[in-house]
Amino acid sequence: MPAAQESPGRITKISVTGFKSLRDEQSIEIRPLTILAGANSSGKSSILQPLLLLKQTLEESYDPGPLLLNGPNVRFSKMDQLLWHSDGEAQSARTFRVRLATAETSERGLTFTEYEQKPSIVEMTDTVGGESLTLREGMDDAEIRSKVLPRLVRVNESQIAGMRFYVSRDRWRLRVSAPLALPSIFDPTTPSIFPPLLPGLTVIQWSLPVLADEMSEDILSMIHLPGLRGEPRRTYPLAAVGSHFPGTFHNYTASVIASWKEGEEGKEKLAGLAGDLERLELAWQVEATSLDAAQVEVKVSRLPKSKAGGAAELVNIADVGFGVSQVLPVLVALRVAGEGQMVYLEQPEIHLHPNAQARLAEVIAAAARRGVRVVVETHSSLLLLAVQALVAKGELPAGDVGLNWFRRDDDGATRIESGSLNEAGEYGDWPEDFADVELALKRQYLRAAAAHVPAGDDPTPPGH
Amino acid sequence: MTPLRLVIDASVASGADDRSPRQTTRVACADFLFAVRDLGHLAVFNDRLREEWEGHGRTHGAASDFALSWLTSMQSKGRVRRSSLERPDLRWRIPNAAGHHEDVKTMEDDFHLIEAALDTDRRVASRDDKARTAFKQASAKGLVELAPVLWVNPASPSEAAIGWLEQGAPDEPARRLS
Repeated sequence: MPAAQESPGRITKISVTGFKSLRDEQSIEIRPLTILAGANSSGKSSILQPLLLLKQTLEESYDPGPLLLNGPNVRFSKMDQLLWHSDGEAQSARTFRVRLATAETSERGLTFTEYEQKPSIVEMTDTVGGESLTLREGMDDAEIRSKVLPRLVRVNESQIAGMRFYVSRDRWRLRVSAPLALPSIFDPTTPSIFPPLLPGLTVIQWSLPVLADEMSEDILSMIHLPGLRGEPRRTYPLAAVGSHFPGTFHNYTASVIASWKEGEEGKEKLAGLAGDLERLELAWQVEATSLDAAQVEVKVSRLPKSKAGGAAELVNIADVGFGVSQVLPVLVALRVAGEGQMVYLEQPEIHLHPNAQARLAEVIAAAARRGVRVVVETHSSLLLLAVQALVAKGELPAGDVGLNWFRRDDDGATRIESGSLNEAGEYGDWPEDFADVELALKRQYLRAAAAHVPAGDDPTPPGH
Repeated sequence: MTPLRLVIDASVASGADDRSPRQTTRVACADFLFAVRDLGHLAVFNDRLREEWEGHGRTHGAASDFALSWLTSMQSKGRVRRSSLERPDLRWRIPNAAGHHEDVKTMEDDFHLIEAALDTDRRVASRDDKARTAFKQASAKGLVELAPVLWVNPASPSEAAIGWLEQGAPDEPARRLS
């Protein structure tokens, strides 16, 4: 099993139902390198969006309710936009569900519904060691007594005989409540996955937080780089740099590079970043300087490779090709991420020359080898092929790569077919179609061009 | 349809080249490669054949960009098989079985196709009609081990190679080297 899957608390599998085009439950495993591929609007982004919704909700400074719909990572204006719809209203979903597994037998399930056009949480399931506990709105007293209470606390039946338990919703928690308080009935030494939120109150309450602490930490530490990473700028706003990057990462890029001027570790990362840029044949030096308390300037070498004895001529990043400013956040994110940290890259290859796309796979694979969990959404056949080559060369363990192919069925519902590479870098029957498209186009061209092929004795060179 | 392990000569790969002078050959070879892939068959390579495909070859030159894309696709799908069988016992008998002196070199140059075919499903696709004729004659003159090998030329319309593939590449006497 890949190393990244072994650490407790880290999300190893995401399953989503009823969300946008994900009508039926679809899942992806999180491997050291997880690749999401498929046509436009096939649902690639949708599988990660529930995680991004949770991230932006957890990061919000005020209480946004169960889910912050309109945030820096994903933007919705009403709950309806999150739910599966088909032509027939009867087939539309009223809820969506996300299950986040941290091990084979441990996961947290969350079900959200629309309540006055806002998201509302209606069910939580906590599975530990294969045993599940569900809190659901509308659970009756008998169900709570038989299925919930025994998992929560050790109680003396006679002491709770006259009480009526119910599940209530309190912002983003589901809570078991009873109208009377008898704190003495609880044995404080009993391990409980639902500790009383406010012990000693006159109402018995246990609530299940939306996410366990380790899972929250995994989501909060996630680095997200969307496909649109902004125009290159002469200066970037100064941002605080730590191990967590709320919102989308490209806003931190300049500040992170500036922070690497200090300390051995920082200098090592800066040198690594310059090496990555040189590998992509984009630049061989990079630096960022704080101009004042609010702005950072990023400069890169004008030449893609160093010249013997030549000093670097550094120019503002706005003065070089678009590819540099678009890929720089990708490279910095992969360098700044710590072991086990998840980095979600949407189309890291945009604006890159084919050669740089292939080289980018090497940089991504190097990050995965360092223990970063990289999730890549891509349309690049070259990037995928380069990953296959790295596996075949033994430079990336085959089991570290997870392939997920997204397509829409006739009803418009997303289907995900997951696969793996073998040690030869082959993916077998995984329905990757980049090669199909390329071959079909070449065949089409051959057939079309055949009509224009000159006779064998025609000396006119092509293009004349 | 049962997938078959086919030996596809580099001459078919180079035939699909967009620089190939004969447009009918280009289209026929490209269509044949497509059919092999779409029908789920496997491609067999020994080291010599692989070198020829990848551009280190000799007689017919390197595979085309199209053919290499095809090979990449086949490899990615896990539809490439390797053969390492060598038959020095048969190769040694080529001079005695050759109909003409010049056929010896022709057969020696293409004998790796026969070796790979004998190691797998005994099916060869090649544009090299000269080699086919030489092998047929050798088979008749005592190199009988070659007789069960089926040999098709995808660029020859009369051989209807794609139709043959679609029928499951059956063992038809007319296609044998006998």
